[in-house]
Amino acid sequence: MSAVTEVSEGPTTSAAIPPPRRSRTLPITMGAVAVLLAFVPFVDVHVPGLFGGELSSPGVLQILAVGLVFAGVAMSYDLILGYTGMLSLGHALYFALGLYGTNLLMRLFELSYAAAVPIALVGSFVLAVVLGSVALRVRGVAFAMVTLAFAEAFHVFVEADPVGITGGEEGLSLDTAYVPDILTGVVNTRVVYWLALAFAVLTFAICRQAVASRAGRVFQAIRENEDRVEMLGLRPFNFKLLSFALSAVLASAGGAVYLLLVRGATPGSASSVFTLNLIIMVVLGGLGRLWGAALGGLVFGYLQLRLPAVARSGVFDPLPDWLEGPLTEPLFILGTLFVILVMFAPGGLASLPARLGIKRGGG
Amino acid sequence: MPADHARTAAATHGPDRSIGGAPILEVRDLDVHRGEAHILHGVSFDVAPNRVTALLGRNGVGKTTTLLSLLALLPSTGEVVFDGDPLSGVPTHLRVQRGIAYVPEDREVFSQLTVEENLRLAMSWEGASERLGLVHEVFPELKRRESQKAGSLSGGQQQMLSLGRALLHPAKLLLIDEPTKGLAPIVITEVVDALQQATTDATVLLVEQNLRVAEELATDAIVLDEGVVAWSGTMDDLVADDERTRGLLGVGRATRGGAEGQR
Amino acid sequence: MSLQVFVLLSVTGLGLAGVYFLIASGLSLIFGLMDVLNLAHGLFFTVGGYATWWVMTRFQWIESLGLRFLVAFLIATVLGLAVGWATERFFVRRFYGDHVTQILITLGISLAGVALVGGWFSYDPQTFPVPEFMRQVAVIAGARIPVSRLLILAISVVLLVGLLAVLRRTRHGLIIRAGVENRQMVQAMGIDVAKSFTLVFAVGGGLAAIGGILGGVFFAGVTPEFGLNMLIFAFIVVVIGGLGSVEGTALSAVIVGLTQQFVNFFAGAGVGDLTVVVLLAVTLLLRPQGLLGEVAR
Repeated sequence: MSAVTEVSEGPTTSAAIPPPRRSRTLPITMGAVAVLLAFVPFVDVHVPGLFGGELSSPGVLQILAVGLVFAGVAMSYDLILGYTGMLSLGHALYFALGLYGTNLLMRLFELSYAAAVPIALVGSFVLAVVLGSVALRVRGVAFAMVTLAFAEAFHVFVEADPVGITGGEEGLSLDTAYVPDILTGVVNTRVVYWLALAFAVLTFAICRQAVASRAGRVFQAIRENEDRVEMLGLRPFNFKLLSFALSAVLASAGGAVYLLLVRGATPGSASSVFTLNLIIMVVLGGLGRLWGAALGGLVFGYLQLRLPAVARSGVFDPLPDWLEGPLTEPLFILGTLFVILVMFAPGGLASLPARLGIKRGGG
Repeated sequence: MPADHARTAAATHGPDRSIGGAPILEVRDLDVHRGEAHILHGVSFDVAPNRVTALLGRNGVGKTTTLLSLLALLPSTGEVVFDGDPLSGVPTHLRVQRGIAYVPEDREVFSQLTVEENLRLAMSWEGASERLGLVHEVFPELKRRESQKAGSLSGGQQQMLSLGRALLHPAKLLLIDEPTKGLAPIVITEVVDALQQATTDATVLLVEQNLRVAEELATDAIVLDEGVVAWSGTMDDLVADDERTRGLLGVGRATRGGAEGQR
Repeated sequence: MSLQVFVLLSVTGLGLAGVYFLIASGLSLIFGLMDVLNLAHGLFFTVGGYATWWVMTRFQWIESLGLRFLVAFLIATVLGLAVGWATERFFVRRFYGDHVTQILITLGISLAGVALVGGWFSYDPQTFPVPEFMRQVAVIAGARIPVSRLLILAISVVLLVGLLAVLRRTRHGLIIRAGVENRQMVQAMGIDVAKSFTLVFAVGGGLAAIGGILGGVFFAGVTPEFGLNMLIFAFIVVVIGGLGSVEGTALSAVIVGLTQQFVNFFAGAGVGDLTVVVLLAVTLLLRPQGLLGEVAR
């Protein structure tokens, strides 16, 4: 590119990505939150308005567990978007691979859940390396489009189901015969909830470890200025691929847990809309902050499952039809909130305390 | 800073200019950062009308950066007064409309557009059609290759197109960035001749790495060093002191021996 | 393969290519000129489709379906222009130089827009009546071709020619072509390139809306997620064609449309879509800048 056009280009100009920061208190805070969340299934308290039943009821635990899975997947996505600065529009592919992969391995090869999950994760890793190698031939927006296309190919595959294994538009329900009894049935929702919590906590720990490692610092250097990393004699390609593949495996693990929660795999999980939702979660929480992504995922999962129930309860009935319709759509509210947040509070939810002048313990 | 204040400052701190009248461009405390690098640390200078002023200095001292920030193509702080009006907050295209034409480093012609289309982009200026005749006179090659894609021109031809495009503008000030960069010696002579022809009586701020070319074209000189103006005065004064030239630019008379012989 | 099948698939594939071109050309120009990946572009498409559905089903006082379709076409196009204009003017413009924020904003608009349409009109597919003549069948080389397919193809070709003429023959077009190559140099020539940004967004919105009208006819109905689904194929078309090149987009749309139709017909539904993605991967491996693109981005 010419000298004049170089001016003012580059990823560092974005107000949406905050500078890196580290906090010692964060693991302690997150640990405390995790412990609190672990006790939720024992709390027989009804929180009116916020939830439709007692905290320990399967319905509420289901909502929270979905939120926790989204939190983990959002953190995995933050690893590539927030920390490495790569805009992938194909993350749904890896989430769906965990979902469909585990389910198909169980159904086609009669493997147990415990055996199917690791194989699905390895498969996801291999595919991420192959597709990532192709997509990483281009940068920036072209990379976004290519990852989107790959993910869409998988979406089309599971939806059109040319081989007759994925169940097409209906999806593929979970055959509980291959799943340990403790993880099935409504009474065991609390166990699946704990599994989701464990997934979220583990993802947080792995992502945190990854971004603090030497490689993780290179990720962040690539986000700031890829050319400089190259000048230092490092190959950005290798690090970007590493970040991409690690993130993919974590997302697949989230898919495997999600399978137990929703007891099946549907094409919607592979659609680009799911990736776009992930972006909303991560940006809502604040790019490049793991706890922000986790919070964004939780809030998103909660709103997505809770809003329709609130709408059914008749709260919006006094409103005129043209307003009531959109307000019962989680994505309308979240999308609008998202636009407002991006325009007026570029650091996401995580930056709000600082913007409002509230002190907090770093992040 | 109001304009009259800037002018007073120019009178006290600016270089002595007995010829040429009030400066057309006054630059005060220009400060520019590019990424993490602090490039210009408060650059101040004047450009006198109807003369060619050379902006000199070693590689990477910020000559191009200065031109880019004068056009607001780079964000900067400090005061720039052009033709009596302060330019702060004025976007690039309006600065150009007020009368600053620009010949960028590396030509930057639109390679996918034809020569004629490149020129046509600049044809909206008042009196451009008459000046097009002059441009074609000075650069007959541009007429001949009218329908050729600019990207297929040679480096010298692209430079002529870039100059021709700027000359269609009824500019009060012409910013020219390294017109001879990367050109073969024979082409340099051609470009310099054309420049001499085209810039008679024009006001030019010329960035030039080649001291011989600068000497040939410019009457005044401003030397940048370490992000500030290290010296300003007439070109003749600058080259008269061999030691200073060597100190400021890293080149001495010995290396320009050929220039004397040619003139 | 019989000649009839070949002709039918070709015309259908070219019709699809026309729809792809209409949504992809604006996307490509917007990206080429402004480096903005406009994820809201699918919404412009959806707006066109729903405006047509709205007029065709609610404007029953216009008795002639042909006239009603003409009115629908005009309203949808104007609405597309307006939404495109407003997106640039009120959202994208505030963040020039900050590509990430621009992408995020268009993403939010896109998802909120889909949900808004879904909240108003439900997620069920909506169908609308089309003029009588479009439902008739023309016989070409023994193949029975729906006239609507031919109409889609004709409108797309007219718009392609028109777009190229505007780009090549008008001053606005000249500025846009120069800006695709080097935006800042255009400014440095005293031209307010931001005016072209607004223009390209509005025209892109209008073209995508027309794509939505024709897409509604082609697929016999519209859904809120229609535009977003088309956007994905539009991305593929844009990357294969070369970012910023209208000619490349047109060529690539034809390749993608025909490939999809033929492969889907002979190898089964969905396989054509997968083949298109493989086509994209191959293009990237062999020619990362796209068929007619100048530089890899």
